[in-house]
Amino acid sequence: MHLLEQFSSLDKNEKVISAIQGWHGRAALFVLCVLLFSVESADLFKAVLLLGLAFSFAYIPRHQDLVLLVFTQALGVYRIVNSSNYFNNDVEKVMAQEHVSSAAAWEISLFTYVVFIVLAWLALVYVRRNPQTLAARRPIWVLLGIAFALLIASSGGLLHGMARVLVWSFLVTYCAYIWFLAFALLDQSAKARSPDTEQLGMLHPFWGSTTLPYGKGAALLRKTRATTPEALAVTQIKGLKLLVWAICLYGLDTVLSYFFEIVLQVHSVENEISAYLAQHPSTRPQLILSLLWSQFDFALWFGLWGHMVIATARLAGIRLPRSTWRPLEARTMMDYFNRILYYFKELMVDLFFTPSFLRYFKKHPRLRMFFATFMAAGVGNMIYHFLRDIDLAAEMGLVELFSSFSSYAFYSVVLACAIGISQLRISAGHRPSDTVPGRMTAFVLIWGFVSLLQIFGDETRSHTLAERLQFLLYLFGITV
Amino acid sequence: MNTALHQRLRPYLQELLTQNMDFQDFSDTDSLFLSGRIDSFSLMQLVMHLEENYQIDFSAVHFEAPLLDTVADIAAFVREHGPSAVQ
Repeated sequence: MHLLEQFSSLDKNEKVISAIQGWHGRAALFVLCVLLFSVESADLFKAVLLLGLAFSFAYIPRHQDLVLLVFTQALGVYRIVNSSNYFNNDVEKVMAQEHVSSAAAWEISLFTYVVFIVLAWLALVYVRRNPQTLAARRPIWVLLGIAFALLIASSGGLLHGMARVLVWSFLVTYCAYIWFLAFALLDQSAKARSPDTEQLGMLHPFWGSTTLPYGKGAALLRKTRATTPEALAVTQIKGLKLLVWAICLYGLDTVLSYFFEIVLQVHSVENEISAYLAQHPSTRPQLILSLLWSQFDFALWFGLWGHMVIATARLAGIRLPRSTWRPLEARTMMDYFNRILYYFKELMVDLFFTPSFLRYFKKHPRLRMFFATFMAAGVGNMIYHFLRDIDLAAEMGLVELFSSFSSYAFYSVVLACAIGISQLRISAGHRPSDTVPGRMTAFVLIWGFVSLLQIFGDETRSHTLAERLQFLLYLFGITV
Repeated sequence: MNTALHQRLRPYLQELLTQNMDFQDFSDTDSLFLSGRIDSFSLMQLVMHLEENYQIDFSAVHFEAPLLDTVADIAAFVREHGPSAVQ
């Protein structure tokens, strides 16, 4: 217990803070972090590469915007050339459909990536110079309009051969970067906006991300960069602590996965739905266990993955808030999303909630809050996941792509209504009780609700909305 | 520095923090939003409070959450955008 307390207060220990500022301390910290990072990734080279960039960024005090740009873009190109990027697989699928073999998939991916980065830079310049245009006033909707135009052009039967391959390749690149670019465009009207080098360096920054910008954009970077050697050391120690916690979660997930999936033979929700539809349903306790374990496993993985990314950013000297923070203690629906998916919630709030809240129904406070919440948790959530899985268009075609999304759309609407009602209750003064029974009730209600909703939120698209509704009814003893 | 404005803002911010079960004191320069002490929902409640009490039209100004991070930031924002705020 004493050791645990010492470790948790490591970032307040003057001796450690001082040691980390010297070369020996820095070298020891680097080696320790590489070893910890390798435990999860099982890839020493990747650990050395990523943490090498992070530590180099932290210790190069001048021209950090340029360093960020070079590191981020070099890593982006490296991943395409080494096919460790999913773009190449997506491009290969359409190349095979169009019988295009005159270039390698990575060459096409690289070409469209370079074109995208140049166009992204030109978009920043355009928006800055033309603040009254639609692109400057409504950048999100313009970006989404372009995405759907590219989708129709590449998958609507309008283009063929190399032309389709190139537009498709641009689309998958564009959709992977759209939310990063959105933050960069929004920042153009800020008084203290960052230089373009930094904006382009934040397009999938080197410390890691998915299609979700961990660390948001340059606006947050400006506020969270450690500016003194002592602040840098403290930030790096916080990064180390988070890395250690991520490895603990990795160990916990490994043990629990073995226990639930091997020992108890708990199947995934999708497999349970398939078994139900094949007239071989599991018992209801098994189904409930499947839902609960799937939700808990999801939370563990998001926590683990987010901690690895944020730890890397902190080791680079950026004081980013954690992605996941004590999700089991959530007391309202909004609190749950704030705690479990902080950067996703921030994306939804910044790009959908806030603009809606500031513009519409200003004379109707409750409707205003509900509408803005619905735009974020419903509409924004739907659009985010639709564009995230845009690669499915190559296999499914446009019609199937949209129709198979109905289940997730339903999930988003129900979730948005639940969060909206939760928000309205809080506005009306209904605060969650701080007593132990009150906390237990909140835990059961929130985790029970999100576990059940998972029936519709699964993203495999292998079952229709009607089939999932049937499964839900069966769970409550109603057979259709 | 407009200390009167700071003092007018503080009780409402204290109420927002209390809603988030945060009973710690805060200085005029302590980070409230970026530190996570005030969440996005509470930030929007703050926006409504500023609209109602200081006649700020948020749809007409460039708004980003870090602009309302501390008491001093909020006071500066009100001074800049709220005509009825500074007396």
